Amino acid sequence: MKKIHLTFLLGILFAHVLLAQNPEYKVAKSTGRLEIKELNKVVFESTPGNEIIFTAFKDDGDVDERARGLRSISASGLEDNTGIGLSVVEKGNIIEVQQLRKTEGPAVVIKVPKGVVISYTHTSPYGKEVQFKYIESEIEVSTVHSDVILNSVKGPMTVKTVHGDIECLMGQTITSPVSIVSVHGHVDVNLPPATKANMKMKTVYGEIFVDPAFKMEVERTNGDMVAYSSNDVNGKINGGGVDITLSSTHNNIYLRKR
Amino acid sequence: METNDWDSLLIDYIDQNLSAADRGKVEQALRSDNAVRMQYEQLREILQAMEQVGEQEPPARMTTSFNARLQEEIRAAKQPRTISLTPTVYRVAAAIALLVLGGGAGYWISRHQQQQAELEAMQREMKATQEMLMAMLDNDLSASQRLQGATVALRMDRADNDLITVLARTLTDAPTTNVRLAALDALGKFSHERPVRQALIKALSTQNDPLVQIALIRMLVDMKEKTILKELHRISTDEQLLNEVKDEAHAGILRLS
Repeated sequence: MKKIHLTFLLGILFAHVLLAQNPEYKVAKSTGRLEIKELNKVVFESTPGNEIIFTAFKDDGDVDERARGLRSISASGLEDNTGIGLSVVEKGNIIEVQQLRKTEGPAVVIKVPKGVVISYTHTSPYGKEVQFKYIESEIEVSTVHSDVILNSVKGPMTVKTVHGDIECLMGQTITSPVSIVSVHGHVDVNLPPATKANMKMKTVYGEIFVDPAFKMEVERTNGDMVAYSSNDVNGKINGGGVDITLSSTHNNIYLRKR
Repeated sequence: METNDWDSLLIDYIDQNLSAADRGKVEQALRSDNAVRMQYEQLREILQAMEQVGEQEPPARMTTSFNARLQEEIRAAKQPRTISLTPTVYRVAAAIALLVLGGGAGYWISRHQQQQAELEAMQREMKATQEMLMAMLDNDLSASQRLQGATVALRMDRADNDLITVLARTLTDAPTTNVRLAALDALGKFSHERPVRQALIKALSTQNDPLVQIALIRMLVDMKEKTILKELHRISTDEQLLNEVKDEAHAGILRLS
């Protein structure tokens, strides 16, 4: 009797795990380019495998009872060919990913092999932020409203946002070039103290703050003079190395020691 | 007239090679000057004797000896010819002058060749760098490669028309803002060159990225480029554009006016 109970309980547990498992979609790809457009809630992570893995998470606030049993369609002709509310289309070396819903959409974690370039573009006001965690491949980000969070990334990367803030924690090794620019948001970057870099920092209406631990050799442009009134601060830390550009037109730039 | 001069005149007179005037002069001298007449007589005898001797074959022993000496002379002639200068000071001075001239010429030739080689190597390197960065700027798959290309361009001391064209195209067409900004930085470095200035002015009317628009307006205003005033008025009143871009255009108008 005890044995039957145990089997029954295990069966229920297994079924629960199966049911609770978040839906996934995989694409075999270890090189090329992953172009993600207009995904409102997305976290990128790294994977040592040879597949790009999309995992959708339920968001209780996202459930529309009226839409139960109906299929979301897009005016631009997109089709949910993944079962998780995403359109994934492979065009040669490029994989294009878009979500069907405009305002909400699934929260998605995308695991990316390190040989695949990640390109993320977001223009609508319905996103909040995009995150990159422990990414080893090249990153290109362009958002209008969303914040960009980069956690333990290594570059190369080109990150741009119009209204969003950018937070970046660089990994121990950095690959050139790194370019992070915002119009309205702040740019806050943490670098390992031993980083050898050629820094270009630029703000028009903001301020630039640098951790004193970084001994920066400021580039002198007019003979031996340093133009303190200039909007640009160019210099080398630890003798120079990777090219790092940080720019915020209307906000501040922070360069911290990690 | 010297005796030697009379010798040649008298010989020519005897051989009948003189002009009428010289012949008259010689005949007058023969009549009036005993010394000349004596000289004439001696010369005539010598010349007559010479004519009477005719050609004679040398003895065989003499021919052999002559040939042997001739061979010696030929061998000696094959040695480098030397110019003897006296006194010794001249020789030393000539030697030093030759050394200096030779050394100087050698140094100049060597230096010239070295400079030529260095110049060619630099030109090759520059061309290779330009080709590499232009390939990087045209890389469709990687924004970082394009950005790196623009960063390399920023470090170059001079840009040719091809590079300026590629950078101007990158400034307008690159899909990534960061790359466009890096191309703008690179072009800004060469803004004193006319084609670059024209490319920047042209880019202002075609640029559609707000970040680049702001940076471009600031650069052209810093360059005191007043020809953009009309375009700045258009931008400052364009409802489609971000307020920040319009504000920058307005500030630019105030600074240029």
